[in-house]
Order: sequence, then structure tokens, then C-alpha cells
Amino acid sequence: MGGRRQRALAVAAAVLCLALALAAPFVVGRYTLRFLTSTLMFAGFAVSWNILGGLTGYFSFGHSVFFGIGAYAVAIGMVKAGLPFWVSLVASGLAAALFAVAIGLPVLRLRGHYFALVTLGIGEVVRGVVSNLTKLTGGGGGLSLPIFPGGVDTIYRAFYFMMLGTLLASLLVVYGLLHSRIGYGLVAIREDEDAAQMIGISTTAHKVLAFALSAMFFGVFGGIYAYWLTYIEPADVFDIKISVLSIIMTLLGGLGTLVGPLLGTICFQLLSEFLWNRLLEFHTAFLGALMIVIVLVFPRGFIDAARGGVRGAFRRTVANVRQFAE
Amino acid sequence: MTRRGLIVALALVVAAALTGYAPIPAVAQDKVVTFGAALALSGKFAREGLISKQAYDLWKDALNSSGGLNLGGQKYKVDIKYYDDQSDNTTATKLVERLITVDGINFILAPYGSGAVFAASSVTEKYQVPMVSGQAAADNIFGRGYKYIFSTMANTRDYQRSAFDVAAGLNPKPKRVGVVWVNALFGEAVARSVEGFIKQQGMEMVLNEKFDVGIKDFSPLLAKLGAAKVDLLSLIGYPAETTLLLRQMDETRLNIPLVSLAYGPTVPAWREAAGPAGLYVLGESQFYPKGKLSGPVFGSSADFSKAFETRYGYVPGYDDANSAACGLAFGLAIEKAGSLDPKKVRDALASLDVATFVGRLKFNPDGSRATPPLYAVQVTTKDPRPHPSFVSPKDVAEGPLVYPRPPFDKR
Amino acid sequence: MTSLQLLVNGLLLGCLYAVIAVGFSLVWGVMNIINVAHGALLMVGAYITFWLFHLWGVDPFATIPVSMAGLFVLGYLLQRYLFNRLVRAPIFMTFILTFGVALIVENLSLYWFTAEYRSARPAYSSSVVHIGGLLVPTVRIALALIAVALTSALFVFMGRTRIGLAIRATRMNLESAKLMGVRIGSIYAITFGVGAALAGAAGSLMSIAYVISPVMGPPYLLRAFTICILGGLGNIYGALVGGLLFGVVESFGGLWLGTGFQDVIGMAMLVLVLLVRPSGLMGKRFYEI
Repeated sequence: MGGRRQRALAVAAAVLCLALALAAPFVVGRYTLRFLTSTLMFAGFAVSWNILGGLTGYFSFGHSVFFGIGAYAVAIGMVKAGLPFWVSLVASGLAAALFAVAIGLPVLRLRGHYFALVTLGIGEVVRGVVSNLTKLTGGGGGLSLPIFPGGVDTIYRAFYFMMLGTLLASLLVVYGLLHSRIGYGLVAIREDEDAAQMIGISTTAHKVLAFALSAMFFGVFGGIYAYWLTYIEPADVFDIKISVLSIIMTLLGGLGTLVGPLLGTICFQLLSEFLWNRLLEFHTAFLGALMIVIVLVFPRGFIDAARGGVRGAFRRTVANVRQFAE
Repeated sequence: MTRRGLIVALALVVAAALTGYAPIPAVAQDKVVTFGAALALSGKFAREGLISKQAYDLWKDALNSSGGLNLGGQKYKVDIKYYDDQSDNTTATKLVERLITVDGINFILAPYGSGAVFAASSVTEKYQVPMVSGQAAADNIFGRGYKYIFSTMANTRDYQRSAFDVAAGLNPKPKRVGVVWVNALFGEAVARSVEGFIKQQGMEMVLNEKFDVGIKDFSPLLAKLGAAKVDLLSLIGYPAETTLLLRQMDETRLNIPLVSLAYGPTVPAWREAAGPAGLYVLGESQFYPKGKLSGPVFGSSADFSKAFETRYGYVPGYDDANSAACGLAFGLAIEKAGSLDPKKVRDALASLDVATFVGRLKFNPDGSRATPPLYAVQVTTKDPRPHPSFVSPKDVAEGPLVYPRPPFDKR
Repeated sequence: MTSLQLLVNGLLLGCLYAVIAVGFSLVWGVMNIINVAHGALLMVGAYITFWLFHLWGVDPFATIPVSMAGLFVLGYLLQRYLFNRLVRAPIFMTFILTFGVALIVENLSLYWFTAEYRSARPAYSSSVVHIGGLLVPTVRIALALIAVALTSALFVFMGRTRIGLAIRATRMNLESAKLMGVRIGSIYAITFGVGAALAGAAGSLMSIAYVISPVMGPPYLLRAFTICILGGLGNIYGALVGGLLFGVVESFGGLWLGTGFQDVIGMAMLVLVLLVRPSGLMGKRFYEI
């Protein structure tokens, strides 16, 4: 297919998806709407995480810390400081971004699995600290937020659109990065950081920016989540699962691409929900089996498989088998 | 294959997933009232969640075998739909919502634990669907002005009260209190109440430490307890950690004259896990298995205990009883309201005042249980295996309190 | 006196942690596989010990070889038929793969064993030994000794046996090892099997010392990560030293900062070490043993 036609098709698909997304809250049932809201949030995780992970090549295992910071920013802002939600939400994004900048400078000096581990460690330390500052954060008992004003449908639609809006914002940011010099800088860092530095890219500034951007979105999602659930506790909002799932969904969909994380999330969420409904006692095991199969068949994610074909991926797997399984 | 194949595959996946939504159509049968419960059937609270499920099932079967609910001259059978919330609050909330919106259920039996009930209650409040809880005690749950949450269990304001009442009458009276609590909603709430009791009794709080769920090594904490010369330990936590602490306390041969637990001694699994380390600790209960308190469906406490023990093989504790009482409360409220309308049932619950096997079943305006019976128990070895002996109040005392607690070598 | 007691407690605890970390470190160092299922394998070992003790009254210490053997077989099979396919893949692919395996193992265990917290506590488990004013539980000493013995056995295995040398050769230079006739696939499978056996042993020790449940894995996995970093990746004695240090820091951290911070102290240590000296305290490459 020609490039122009491909692009036109892509735009048309995007517009269609957007239209469906905007219409959904007025068409589907409440439970489905909750599911969609949650999926939008996870998609947002994957897309934002991808800024640092896929574009820049720095795999963070501790992004849940930004989600938690955002959640507590809104909770503390609304409950302890009496601020309105919107103000607190801005604070949540800012707080997360600022924290990212603060830890980014020392932490981004590390690479590979060292970077992954230090982010994990920081996430756990922050969780521990928040758990113990009972006067400010409610400690292990958590914080309870006021309920969003309005009827049930209003509430559901409001949060759906909040999540959708944040997701769209993150997609725009990624799109912007992919088509800008900063984005080229990030990709250069991913491909060969030393070379990038040698040709004059300010690697630290680029990395910190990517870190802060992805952190900011996680923070905003955290803030929305807190108001949505109306009750947060450290174990929930600093849960490692948030980081782990973001990574998995991005990897499933395709690292470093715009749409990959989105696709990966949607598929994962649908599968997860389906398994839950049908196979209550074994759904985790089936999810695990599914992950194994997907990793073996689509080692570079769906998008890559779509480009190179499933056959190509299979060929690579078989090659590995031949080499090592004797 | 490539793109087209991929799209086809995705379409199949999406189609399959969407079929997961269609609620399996119910077979038309005689009149049934369905209740919903999202419980911890896996994860860290699976054991505790099972307690609720067992109790709910016992109530359901007891009610159905006696004909069912009486509504407008018609008999309605009772059924319960369960989901596993995996001991996760967010999941519990989501599942309660699913029960209400997808499964169309208007009466929710609560999940396990203060955290989950706290989170899920905002859903039931939003949808104006009543929820009754038997295993969540934190008083914060009830301070929010919610109208649709009720609890058959005593709330944390009353936890450890009986232990301190017992302590007050002891000679020598304990003076130095150590409060050790789990860093979760339940622990934090009870610890607050305990601070009040300490002041009330003119004792001194010499140690106040919190620990995380999942902690494995208590040696630093035990060192502090010893150094502070604590003579009354108020231990508030979930079984996995409290049994571990007691056993490690024995390993370090730390001797505290009076040890009181907010939760555990009445649960057989707790006693088994604690072993000799759990002997002679104080616990509390809201249910006396041999009691004469009596009411509809189950008869007396003693009748309930017999039926429970026959079916599940152990003498029920207060969490078993209070969970069964959730179903009972719903049933009585539905019959009193004469309707299945959730708002009317809610009003009936709010004005309920009935003598039952767990005592007088009545709720405060904030939904918490009004005047639950409170007992103190002590784990002794009257049986071949450790079991809880009731020691207070006097009318149920089965024997004298063993005080001070014998050190490890003498148990 | 309290300090000395805490130090001893911390060291004994640290020995247990070391066993958890050593197997993890081996697999990571040789095959560059971050085995996220390590915690789950540990849990299986713990349950093997528990069930043998509970059903047939076998002394828990005697079950350790059984649990090690069983986990070795499981690990070997997993590597041979599953993980070997992704050896050359990006490290985070193996992360997903092992994560998937962990999910399956945990789910099946939860279903078969139920979620009740259990432990294999023999009758003599509360006996203590008095050493100059210190009280040391006998069982803890035994566990620590076993931990040290296992670590030393691994050291001997890697340094003196043919298979151990083959494993080291594979790590040093894959192509040369192949040319020398080393069957890479089998070596990898054996390595993973050994790592799994150590995880199983650690689990058995946990079953004796603490309370176990099907979801007990993740906190131990986190500790394994931390200790590996502390001691230097792939460095066996580093894992032992790292484990001991970790145990002591946890004990004193709990004392000074309060029990609430106890489990977080280890993480803080991880962050500090990574920022200051990422190659670990004993930072040497794996094959320099």
C-alpha cells in the first residue's frame, strides 16, 4: 500500500475510534463503562510508560510511585487542605513530575537492570514512608475522599471522560515526540547512548524530560483514580502490579510505537476480563499461560508481528529452539 | 497472514471477550431472592473470606429448608452469587458494582475486611443498595454519613474493651501497656480505641509500634517490648502475623503477664497456627456458643453452634456468627418491609430491633451495631486441643482467669 | 546486650536470606535471566516440606533434600523446554516469560493448597541455646548452618566439578564453550535446575522458621534482587555477605526506626547501593569467584 493511502487509512481509523470512544458512555451499560474507564487508565499507563521505556530505552519498574504520589496529592489536597478537585489534580501532576526530576538526576545515571531495580526500590521506599506518616496520609488506614457530586451516570461519565482526556493528552505528547527533534534525541539515546552524547545530544536533559513527562501522566491518573475510588491506601496505589502491567501491556503491543501500547492494553484487558468471567479459579494461571504464548509467538509485540508477519516471529523462535534445546 | 490475519485474530478475541459480558441467563424457576457477595476467596485474606462464605451458605440453607422468605403470602427461596475479590479492595469494589449493575442484585453481603468494606460501601451508597457486613470493624466506615451500610459486628470502638475491663479487676493490676498493631485500617482503628481505654483505666502506654502485613521477623520489636517492661500487651493484627509474633516471643523467652489479642483466639485456624504460643492469651468474642440467646431461623446460640459444628467441623466464633447474622438481618428486614425494593429494605434494616441468636440485632443511625454482646475469652487446654474459655462477663465465665500468663517452660 | 542479641538474630536471619539470593544470582549471572518465578519456586519447596511433615510426620530437616531434588527436576524441565527458547531474547522478554510461569505456579498452588497460612514446626522448634547471656533458638542455628553449607557446596560445585566448570565456561565465552563440546542447552538447564533447587531449599527453611502461604513468594523475590545487587551479580559469596548484611540492617533498622519501617529498610539499602556502587559490595565478575 502506498504511504499516502496508509496514512489516510490510519487517520480514518483514529477518527473512528475517537468517535466510538466519545459515544460509548451514552450507549453502554454502567459496568461496561467502568471497565472501559479502567482500560483507558491502563492504556494511559502503557502509553506514558512507553515514553521512557520504549522511546528512550529506560525500563522503569517503579512507575507506580508516581501514580501513588498523584493519588495522595489529590487525597491530601481535598481532605486535608480543602482544595477543589481540579486544583489538586494539577498539583498531582506537578508533584509527580517534580519528584521525577528530583530523583531523575541521580537515578538516570544507571542503565539496564540497575535502573530498573533502583526505580523499584524507590517505589517501595516511598510506599513505606507514606504508610508511616499517619498524621498526613492516614498511614496504613488510608484516606477517604468525598464523593463526586451528581447522580451515578454523571459520575461515571465524568470519570470516563477524565481518563479519556488524559489518555488523549498522552497520545498527543507521544505523537509530538515521535515527530520532533527531542524525540529523535530520545531514540538516539535508546539506540546508543554514548554515541548520542558524542554527537552533542544533552542526554541528561532528554532523559529527565522523558522521565518527568511519563511521571506526570501517571500522577494525573493517580489523582483521578483517588477521586474515582474515594478511598485509597498505600498498598493499592503503590502496588507494583501497576508498573508490571504497564510494562507487559506495552511489550505485548509493541515497544516504542504510538499505537502499540494502546493495542496491547486493550487486548490484555479484554482477555483478562473474559478469563475472569469464565474461569474464576484459574484465571490467573490462564493469564500466565497466555503471556507465555504471546511472548513466544509475538516476541516483539503485535505491531512488529503485523509488520513482519507471524511467520517471521515463528522463524525466530524456532531458531532459538534449535540453538539451545538440545 | 500478516495484517489481515492479525485483524481477524483480534476481531475473534474481541468477540470472545464481549461474550464474557452477557450474564448467563437464569433458568426460570420458583421465586428466588438473590443476594450478592464479593469475597476474598484467594489472596492474603482467603481464609477469612471463607469464614463469611461458610456462614452465608449456612444461613441460606437454614432459611431455604424452613421454607424461605415470607413475602406477601408467597414463599421465596434464597440464593447467593459469589465473586472472588482476591483480597484486593479495588477488585472488591468493582465486583460489588458488577453484582448491582450487571447481575441486577439489590442486596449485598459485604466483602471481608475493613479496607474492602470501606471502599465498596461508596458503591452501594451511590447505587442506594443496602449492604450488611459481618467482618469489618473499623469505625471510620461508619463516620461518613452513609445510609446504606450496616454491620452486625461490634465496631472498633468496642474492641479490647472487655480485655481492659478484665485487667482492671486483676491483682496486681497491669500498669505498663504495650500496643502493637498492624498498619491497616483495622489496626489503626483499634489502636485508637485502646489508647482511650488506657487513659480510662489510669494505665500508661509505654510502647506503641505498628508493623506491616507480611512482616516475618519480630526480633527488634520483641527487644523493645522486653526493654520497656510491658506487663499488658495489646496485640492487634491478622492471624498470619500475630501467631508469628507470639511464637517468636516464646523463642526469645519473653514473658508478659497479660497478653490480649483483638482478633484470633476464637478462630480454630489461629489456635492451630499459634500452637503452645497461643495458650493463655486473652481474646474477645461477641458470641457465646453455648448461650441461650435466641431468635428466628437459627434458634439459640447453642442450636446455631451445633448446626455449624456438624456442617463445618469446628465450634463457631463470633465472625462466623456475625456473618450468618448478616443474612439473617437481610431476611428479617425484607420480611418486615414486605417488599424487595432496596430503599424499603434499607429502611427496615435501619429500624430493625429483634432478639436473635447473636443477641439483640439493632443498628445505630450510622449503621454500626448497637450494643453487641462483648465477652472476653482465654485460650486454655481444657480440651485435648487449645480452645477458648469464656472468662467474662461473670454470667458466662467457664472458669477462673489464669493470670499471670505462665512462661513458656511452664505451659 | 540487646544490641548483641539483635546482631546475632540479624546474622542468623541473614543466612536464610542468603540462600534465597544465591540461586537467583546464579541464574542471573550465567544466563542473564531474571527469574521472576524464583519466589514461586521457593514457595513450592516450602510446601513440599510442609506436606511431608504434615501428612507423614517426616522431620522437616529431612525433607530438604527431597524439596531440592523436586525443584531441580522442575527447574531443569522449565529451562530445557521453555526458557531455552528465549535465551538470546531481550532480557525483558524473559521477565514476562518467568512472570507468566510464576502466575501459573501460584494459581495452581492456591487452588491445591488453599490459602491458609501454614508452617512445619516440629515439637522441638522452641528450644533455645544459652550462649553467654544470649538466647538463640536451636532451630535458627541449624537453619543458618544449612544455609552456609549449601552456599559452600555450590562454591565447590562451581569450582571443582566438571559440570560446574562447564557452566562457568559457558558464561565466559559461549562460542568457545560450544567448540569445546559443551552442550549449551543441557548446561543451561542444569544451571537453572540448581538455582531452582536452592530456591526449594530456601523455601523449606522458611517453612520451618516462618509461616507460609501460596502468595509468599514476591517479598522474597524482592529481597533476592536486593541481596544480589548488594553482593554483586553472579557472585556467590557476595550473595552470602549481602544476605548477612541485609539481615543485620533489617534487625537494627527495625529497632531504631520502628517496626513499621523494617521491611522498607532493605529497599532503601538497595537504592543507596545502586546509586553509590552499582557493582555491589564485592563487585567482581561472576567467573572470578
